Formats: sequence, structure tokens, C-alpha cells
Amino acid sequence: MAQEAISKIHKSIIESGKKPAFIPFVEVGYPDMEFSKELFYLFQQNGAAAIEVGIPFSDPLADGPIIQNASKIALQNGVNLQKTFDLLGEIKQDMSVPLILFSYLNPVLSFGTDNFVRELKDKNVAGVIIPDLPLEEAEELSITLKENNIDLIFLVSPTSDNERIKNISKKSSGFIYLVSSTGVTGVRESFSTMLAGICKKIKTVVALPVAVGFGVSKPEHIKNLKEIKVDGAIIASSFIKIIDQYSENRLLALKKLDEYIKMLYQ
Amino acid sequence: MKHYFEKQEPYKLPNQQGRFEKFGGKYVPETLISALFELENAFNKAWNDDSFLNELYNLMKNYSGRPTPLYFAKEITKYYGKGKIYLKREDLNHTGAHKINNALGQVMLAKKMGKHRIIAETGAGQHGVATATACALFGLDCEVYMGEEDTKRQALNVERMKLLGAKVIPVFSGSKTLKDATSEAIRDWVANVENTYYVIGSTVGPHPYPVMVRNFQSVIGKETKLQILEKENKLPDYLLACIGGGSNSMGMFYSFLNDESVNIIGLEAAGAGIDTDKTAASMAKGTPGVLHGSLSYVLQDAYGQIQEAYSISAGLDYPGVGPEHSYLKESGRVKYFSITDDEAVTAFNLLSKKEGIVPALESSHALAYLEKLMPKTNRKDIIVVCLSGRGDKDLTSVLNYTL
Repeated sequence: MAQEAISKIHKSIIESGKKPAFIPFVEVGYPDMEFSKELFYLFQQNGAAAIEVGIPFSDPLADGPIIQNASKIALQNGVNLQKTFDLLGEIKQDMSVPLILFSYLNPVLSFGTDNFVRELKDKNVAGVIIPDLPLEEAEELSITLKENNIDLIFLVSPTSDNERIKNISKKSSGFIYLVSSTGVTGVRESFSTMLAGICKKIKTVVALPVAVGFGVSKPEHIKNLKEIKVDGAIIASSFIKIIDQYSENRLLALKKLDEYIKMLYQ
Repeated sequence: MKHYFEKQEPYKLPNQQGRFEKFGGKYVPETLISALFELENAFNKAWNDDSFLNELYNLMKNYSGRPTPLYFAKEITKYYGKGKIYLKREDLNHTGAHKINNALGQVMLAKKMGKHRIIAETGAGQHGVATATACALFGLDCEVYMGEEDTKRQALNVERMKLLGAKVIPVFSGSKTLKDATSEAIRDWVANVENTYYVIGSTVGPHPYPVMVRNFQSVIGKETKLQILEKENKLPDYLLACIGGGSNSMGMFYSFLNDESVNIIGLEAAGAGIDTDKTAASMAKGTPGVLHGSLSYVLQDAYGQIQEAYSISAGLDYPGVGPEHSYLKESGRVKYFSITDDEAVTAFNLLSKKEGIVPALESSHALAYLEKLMPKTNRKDIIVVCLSGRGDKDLTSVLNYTL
């Protein structure tokens, strides 16, 4: 295989000052568009290596109750892929952090691949994650994104066998999204000891960073992930919980989020 | 013992990737992929093993009452005064609907795969009851996800499931109906995939579910074909069945797809009407999209958000449809029409009064099409309607409905 130049996301993760690199998630339009915009700035200021831009969906199969609820509210606020791209257009000049669009497949299909890719390029989106698009179904989109230098980031799960890990790793770019354990997104107490093994396995087949998501929410998790040489930590539901808790006071919510990030990486 | 599953394939579909041309596939989170491969292997082995199929059919025969009769409905035939109407009496199955065919098949498969915990989704409650029944019989733990709205509409079935030893989990998200129950069951499966078997109740979901459910339900059409040839010495001119996800219809249609003389018609639920937003007619009003793991016709807005479906019939109240039906719609082999709540309730009343058979509201959608079809038939025509279930469960819904 020819040696390829590493992508913007890949580079940003391995060069991050934070170990593991900080990869936060924004549910666009939750609790509203203005607040989502603030979050991009907050996360960038706090040294995010990449930011996931979450598109709300009516039937988020891989998500637990926290993101389901946020997604529902965002949809009630009328958020869709076009409005998300409009928002990204507004902040594009200020964002040096690579952005990764996180969407279920159907909104993307509905938007149309050509339209989708044009908007991604126009808004400087560096990568895409589609949680219900496994390797088997991804060939077409994978080729199109590659041609446009946009990373398609695949998920690896504790249930993926060696052969699959190999195949997924070969098709991925940017990083490998390692799901911490079976189940949907949401806060977890601790991670399986298997995680270190899977992470090692991935690294023997591909020279890509590995980022762990689903349940990352505590300083112990961050420490643990660093120990097992995971390159990135994806954090989503715990931010939404905080936003929920302080929803009447926007400034306070932002302050609490800021403190929380600093506490995670203390 | 000889089984009556349809082993003659009308076409080589789905392909290796689980596709009926562009429809179908496996659009699920990575965590479920290995379980789907495991299931596909186990199912293929069982389907190619006559001893498994004979054992299953033997159970269907002695436990559930197969073969179900193909009944000549003399009174409604007289009422319309045209072609001869036959009813395939799936309502006479144990637990009162065709759902038991698939539930026995999948639960027997789960038992052979060594899974101890079974989960299912249910709309009208018929699939939940059928799965709870099969689990009681095979000694497996059973949890059934059911939309909270449906637990109210179908309270009797909730009690039946509990009596059978199943746990019923009400689902409060979305429209609180079948779509949301299915999403929640999939989330449970993602979390517990290592010890849990998910029994999907219709020809929907990721590969191999659509093909597996169709094949277990193919007893309906295979029996019907033998029965009608014996009674009339000819194939039917028309086959009618209702479509929610599409399992009774796929089971009925499958054996006849290559018989060109047979007009095959699927009836979906128009709800308040296809020109309103209170409808479940995914083929009349939907567009291709991905819901619950496969690409098929689905009710969605301009930005790919799945819309809530509506039908008086809880079993048809689903914004999607099985991928094989989408394929058959595009190929033109099957014609699809929709039936409103009003028309279904009218048919429900008519069959009860004329034949002494109370049909399920789901099946009433197929019966309702007779109003439109019969005037166009002649006395030599033979019409077979799949009477997929009995209507006792629907009494409250019908009594509360004002025509």
C-alpha cells in the first residue's frame, strides 16, 4: 500500500497537547442554534483536537436517552442538515479545529451525496461519521469522500472480530472510532479490560490514531484511556447532561462546561 | 412428517449482501454486524436442514393448528354476487394470527443457537403474544417492547403477554407506537447482543430478517396453493393481503410470484387518507430511505426525518415497509393500494355480520379492497384473501370509532 499523507484530523489528534486528545460532540440545535455556536468556540478554546457536529435524527438507534432527548429538542427547533451547514458557514472563518460531521445515514441520503459533499467542502468539514453505515454498505460514499479528501471514520466495536478490525482499519482514515463497550451512547461507570487489547490490535494493522467513545465521562476514564495508549477521547452525553442541568442560565452552563473539561484533564 | 415451507425460489433474491436489487441491506451499528452474520449462518443451516423444518412444521401442526383452512366464504361471495371469495384462515392459528409461524421458527432457531434471552417489538401485540408463547414453550426469558400508546389500545394483549411469563416494557419515545418499540428493541440488542436473540416480527430490519421472516411465513402461500388446486383445480385470479411491515402478505405471495395469471395485490393503511398527514401508506406516500436497518420505502420529510405513521390498526401503524415489497412494487409484480380507517372498519363489520368471523383490523384492510375489486370480477374468478388474524383484540378500537 502506498504511503499516504496523513489527514488534517489525524495530524490534529497526534499533535494534540492533551493525552488522549479531546474530541467533544455538539448536538446541533440543542438547546438552540445560538448555544450550539457558543459550544464550538468553547471547545476550540479548550484545546479540542476535533469537534463532532451531531445532526439530530428522528430515530437515533445508536444513542441512549440523553442524546435521544437532545436530538428530539433539536428537531423541534427545526434543525436539519441545511441549517447545520449554514451554521458551520457562519463560524468557518474562526474554526481552526477540524470538524467532523456525525449523522445517521437517512438525512444524508435525503440530502443527496453530491449536495452533501459540496457542502462539506464548502464548510471545511474534514471528516464524516455515520453510525448506521457499516463497512459493507459504505463503498460508494467511501470512494466519493476519499476523492474529496474528506475522512470517513468507521466504528470498531468489542464485537468486531479480527478479520473485520483489519478490513475496517484499511478503509478508515482520520482515526478509528472504538466503541468502549456494547450498547448505546451514554454515561458509563468503567470500561472493559478488553479495550486495551482491541486498541493494540488496531494499531498492529493500521497507522491511524484510535479514539474511544460511548460513555467517556470521568477523569478516571481519561487517565485509563491514556494508560492504554488510546489517542483520543470522544465526549458527548456528559456535556448534554450539564447543559440540561443549567439550561435556564446560559452563561452558567458555559462556565460549568468549561470547569468540567478542565476537571476531566486535571 | 412433511413440511410446507416454500423451497422453490421465484428469483435469486436477496443477493449475498441481503439486497432485493437496491432495497434491503444491513444498515446497523457495527456492534450488531457480527450478530447478524452469526444469525445468517444459523438460519441458512436451519433452512437447508429438512429435519429442522419438519420439526418446526410438526410443531406448527400439533401446537398451532396448521394447516389452517382455506374457507369458501359463501355469504360474502353471495353479497357481492361476482367471483368466489376464499379466506385463508390464519386467524385460526394458536394465539389468533399468522405471527406465531415466524415466532415459533425464530425461537426454535434461538434455542438451537444457545441464546437464553429473547426480545421482541410489538405493535398490535400479536407478535409479542406469539413470541411470549413460543418462549413459554421453549423455556426462554422474554421481554417485549411495546409503544405506550399501543399498550393502551391493546391492553388485553399486554395482560396475555404477562400471563405467558413475558415482561412488557412500555416505550415512551416518539409516537409511542411500533416504530419506537422497534428502535428501543434494537438498542436493547446493541447492549446485550452477546446473550440475546432479537425476534423481529415482520419482513423488515437488516438482512437476514426480511428473508428469514418471509421463509417462515411461506407456509401460508404454500398451503394455500395446494388447497386451492384441490378445491378448484386452478390457481386463484386474485390474491389479497394487508401490508404493515409485510409478513403475512410476503408469506402469502411468495409461492405465487412466478404464476403470471395470479393478480397479486397488497393493501396498506391509508389511515385518515393518503392526502392527509394521518397515514401509514409508506408505498403510496413514502420515498426510499433507511429505517431500522434496511433501505425501503419510508414516510419521511424533506430532510430525511422519519415521520410518524397513523392507522386505526396498531399492526399497520408503521412508517416503513419490508424491502422485498419495495422491490415488488418497483418490478410491478405486485400492485399496492391503500385502504382508509373508514373502509377497514366497514369491512370489519361486514365480515362479522355476514360470515360470523371477526377479522383483525389489519386483515380488514385486505377485506375492504373487495368493495373495489368485486364489481370488476366475474363468476369464474377466484379471490383469496389472507385473513391474517382475529379481531377480538380490536373491539375497543372499533367501538370507539365513529364511521
